[in-house]
Amino acid sequence: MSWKKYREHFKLHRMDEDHFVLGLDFGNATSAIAYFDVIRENAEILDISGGYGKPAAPTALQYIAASKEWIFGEYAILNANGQDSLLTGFAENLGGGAYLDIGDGNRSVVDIAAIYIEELIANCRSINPKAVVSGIVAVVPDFVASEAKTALSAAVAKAGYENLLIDLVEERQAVFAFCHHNKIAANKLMWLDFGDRGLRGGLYEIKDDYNTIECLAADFNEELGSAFIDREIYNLLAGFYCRTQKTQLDELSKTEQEQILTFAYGHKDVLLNNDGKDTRIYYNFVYPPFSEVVSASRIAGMAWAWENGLEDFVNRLLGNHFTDDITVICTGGGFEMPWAKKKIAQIFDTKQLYLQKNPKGILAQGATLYAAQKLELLRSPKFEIADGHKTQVDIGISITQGGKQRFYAIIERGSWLWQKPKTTYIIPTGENAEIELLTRDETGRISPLGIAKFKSMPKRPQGTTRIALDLEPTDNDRYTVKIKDLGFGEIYPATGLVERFDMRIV
Amino acid sequence: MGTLGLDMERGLYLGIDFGTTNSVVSIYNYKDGVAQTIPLDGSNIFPTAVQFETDPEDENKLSRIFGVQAKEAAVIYPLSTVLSIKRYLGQDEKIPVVVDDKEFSFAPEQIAAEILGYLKQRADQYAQDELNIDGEFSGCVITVPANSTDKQKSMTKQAAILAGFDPNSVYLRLEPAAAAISYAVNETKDKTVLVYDFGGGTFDAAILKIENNDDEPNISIVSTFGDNDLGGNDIDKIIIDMILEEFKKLTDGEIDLYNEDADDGVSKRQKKVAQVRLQQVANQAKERLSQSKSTKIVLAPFIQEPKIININMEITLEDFENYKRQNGQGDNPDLFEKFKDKSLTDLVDATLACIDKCLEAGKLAASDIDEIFLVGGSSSIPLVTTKIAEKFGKEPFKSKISPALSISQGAAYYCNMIMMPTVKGPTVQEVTIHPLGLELAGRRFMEIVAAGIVIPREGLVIEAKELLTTNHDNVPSMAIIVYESTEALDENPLVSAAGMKRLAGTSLRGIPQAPKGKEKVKVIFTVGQDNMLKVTAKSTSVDGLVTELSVDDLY
Repeated sequence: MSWKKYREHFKLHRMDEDHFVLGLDFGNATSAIAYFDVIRENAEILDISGGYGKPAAPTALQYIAASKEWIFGEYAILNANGQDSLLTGFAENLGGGAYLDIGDGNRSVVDIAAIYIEELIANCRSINPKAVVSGIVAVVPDFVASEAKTALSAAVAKAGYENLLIDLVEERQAVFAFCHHNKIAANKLMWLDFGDRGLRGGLYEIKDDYNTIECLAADFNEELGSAFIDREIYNLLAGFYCRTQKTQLDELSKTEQEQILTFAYGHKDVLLNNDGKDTRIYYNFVYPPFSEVVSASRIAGMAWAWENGLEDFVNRLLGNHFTDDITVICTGGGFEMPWAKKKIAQIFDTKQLYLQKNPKGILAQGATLYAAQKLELLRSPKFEIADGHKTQVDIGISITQGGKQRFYAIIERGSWLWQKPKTTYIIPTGENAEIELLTRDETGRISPLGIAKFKSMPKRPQGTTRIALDLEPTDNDRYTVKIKDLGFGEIYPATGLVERFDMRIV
Repeated sequence: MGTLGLDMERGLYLGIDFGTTNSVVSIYNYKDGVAQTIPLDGSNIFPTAVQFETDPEDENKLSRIFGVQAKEAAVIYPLSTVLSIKRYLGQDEKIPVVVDDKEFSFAPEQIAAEILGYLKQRADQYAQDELNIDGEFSGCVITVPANSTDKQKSMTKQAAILAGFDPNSVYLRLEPAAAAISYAVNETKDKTVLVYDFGGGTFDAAILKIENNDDEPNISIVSTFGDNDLGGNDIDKIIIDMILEEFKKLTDGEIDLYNEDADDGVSKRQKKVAQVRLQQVANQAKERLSQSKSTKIVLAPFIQEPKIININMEITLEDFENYKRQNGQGDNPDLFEKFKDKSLTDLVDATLACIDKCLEAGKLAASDIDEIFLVGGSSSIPLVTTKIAEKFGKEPFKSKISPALSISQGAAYYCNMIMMPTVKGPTVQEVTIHPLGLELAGRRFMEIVAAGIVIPREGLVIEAKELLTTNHDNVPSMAIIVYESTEALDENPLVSAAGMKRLAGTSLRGIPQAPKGKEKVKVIFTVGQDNMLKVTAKSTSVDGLVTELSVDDLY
């Protein structure tokens, strides 16, 4: 159903507080759901953690093959036993056509995401049995490929909501909807998202009360995701375990690994929130049980790299802009960690900071506010975003498929300049082993960008040179193109030749 | 950032759900107009546990560890860790604690005070660091089970005072009423609701009316009924029992883990460790059986001496629901008698029986209930939802926030009413819960305070309609025996009727000796907003001959 039809339907049936359009933030580490409270005209986060009192639930499923049961969220992690399949981090694999081994066969990532989303929404419905889910708006990162967006829509539909309004909203649009609704007035807004897989940020100039928004800078650093903290804590706790049990990290059984994973998950909060004090932790899952002290300095050491990274990251985003007239909104579960809050508060004045108790929930709240704006329950600005930091055209090569020439995009139009595409491996079919780079604009018109070829190359037969191609945007119209000769098996070994080209879209 | 931007009219108050297993603290955030739970040590839910150890700087002193660390320490240090202290509030026995072979003992309220003190300290720090509030929480609203005795309430209050809250700023409120507030804040329709509060140590059913006047919900308590010895801990004991039966099979019943003095080759310490491990593993298994159809119990090894015993078993949801408890597990005989041969299904049925009593006391039928709200960790058990749905023909609600947080957040709304009485918001009409009265000659019950009477802010004062008279010639004293009826009253009630609870008894001494019926005594009942009762008995013939007592003094 379109927003227009849905709006008419909504008005016609006078939907009340029991009809919800849910905002879904299906994250890689945790997921959150919010709904629009029509009485209070506000977005509320639903606690779907099953009594744990945490608004975000881990994006985790456990599959018990023996009883063909799926265990959802926090319980899946706590129930991990090394025997049944524990599935985590599957959100980032959406769109890749991947399948996961669940113990008694393979299931597609879309199927697994659908099972998770179905369970997630079932948890919400159990909170209010009268609730009628009228629609779902899911947030998607603005950098993911169109295949991932299609796969997320497919997962929501497979979860049993194929006939309901399903829309996807870009994360930053959800953030703007949230900021506008919460009257976070700013001339310039810096959005920092501390997620599982990295730290992402953008600096935006807000004009005319969010009607137009100009992106002044955008960046991403995958080293600064909260997953590194999880990894560090796991390694630390596994280290204690190995020392006591007289074993090595690489000798741990799957059961032991999952026990330590569960143990690390259960102790992360207490380790990171112990107010700068040493923490004694008890290994009660082994016999005889033992305890270890994690020193405060060890925890501070984990945070140190991130803290420095954040400062550099913010400085890069700021560029020549002054901090005085900037409001900063922080999202993502990483900002729940006290040292992350403390560090950001050192960089900016607290009056400039918007850091709510559940920063993970903001995107889901933004999504449901976006829905409320679309339904004309709330006043909506235009949110027209001008991006100077995104690619304006597709960049790719021409390939032959099924006897026909077609354009293969290596960088999709609308990608962020910080997005580095994966290396593409090509075996050119022409005589000179050269690669012609092409652009394709929004009308579909294809134009040449430039040719990448080696200056000197040993003579080889046609089709026997494998080349690694890397593209890196340096500006919104300039790209560094790198090619490397990989040779062809043992007969034509790699020469190690590397060439770089600076190409500009005319 | 959420700040409490207004100057408080009456200081800063903390809403505390002091639970048997877990505690939760919340405040009212004026900026956002909502109650907000304060995470303690990184989690909204804080295990109600304390562990004592020798202070590293002074071997004659004790230091304390709280929360998750204490709960986990119980496995290694069972003798120096105290869990489920709420179950001991109301008892006079001291709690023994052994630290490095030195024995200590604490009154239950002292232990509770230690934990409440830590909650206060962490909440103060959070408010200062995260909410930019100067100062500290001087007052609090602590929730108590609807059916707690006055002594339990009194000891809870005492613990809060010992924890550092201002004695005049400690308020007790009923758990189901607090839970109802957190639901009612968004309600726009008038409703009769049942709050099903199944916590770690107690069960309470409460029926409340929510009415919307001037767009603000007003909540009044219609009736309550509960069981102070029925909670999640008792459900854990069913799983412990299943494991114990397996253990008995493996050891041919030669080892009694709960008889610490038995000469069966297992040390006292090892038995304590085993008991705590059983408790923790059973609790985890219960939580997992809320989500799945079976769970595995692996305790390998469970004990090492006199021989290694490994436990590796699977418990299905069906077994869990139907298994009948066989072992005392160290419970006192009276308590065990209550749970002997009882299954999870029986325990859930017992909560339904409480609901029936609650409906009866409120003179309501199941069909009069518009909505049912589930509160407390034990209400997550699927059988509860199934049975409630069967009984009422409708699915119960869980909280929009979380069954685990709703009581504390409701307490925070209470804080708002106390801190900012002039600011609009949801209100709770405090009413008397059960009929209160005195025993008369012939074991008759004279009702003095009826159920459902509104308790004004300054307290409810009711004088007995009849004066008490002496029953014999020349008696120098008169017995004052106070009763509470937890069930609806008959036309001519007797104190021996079902549901009658003797709350207290004392005597007014020094009455002039005179023929029977001549001397008369006036009795006044005063009920505070925390439902605590004070009884005053005055001689009408001798000025100044008064006995005035709080009911809990008389236990």
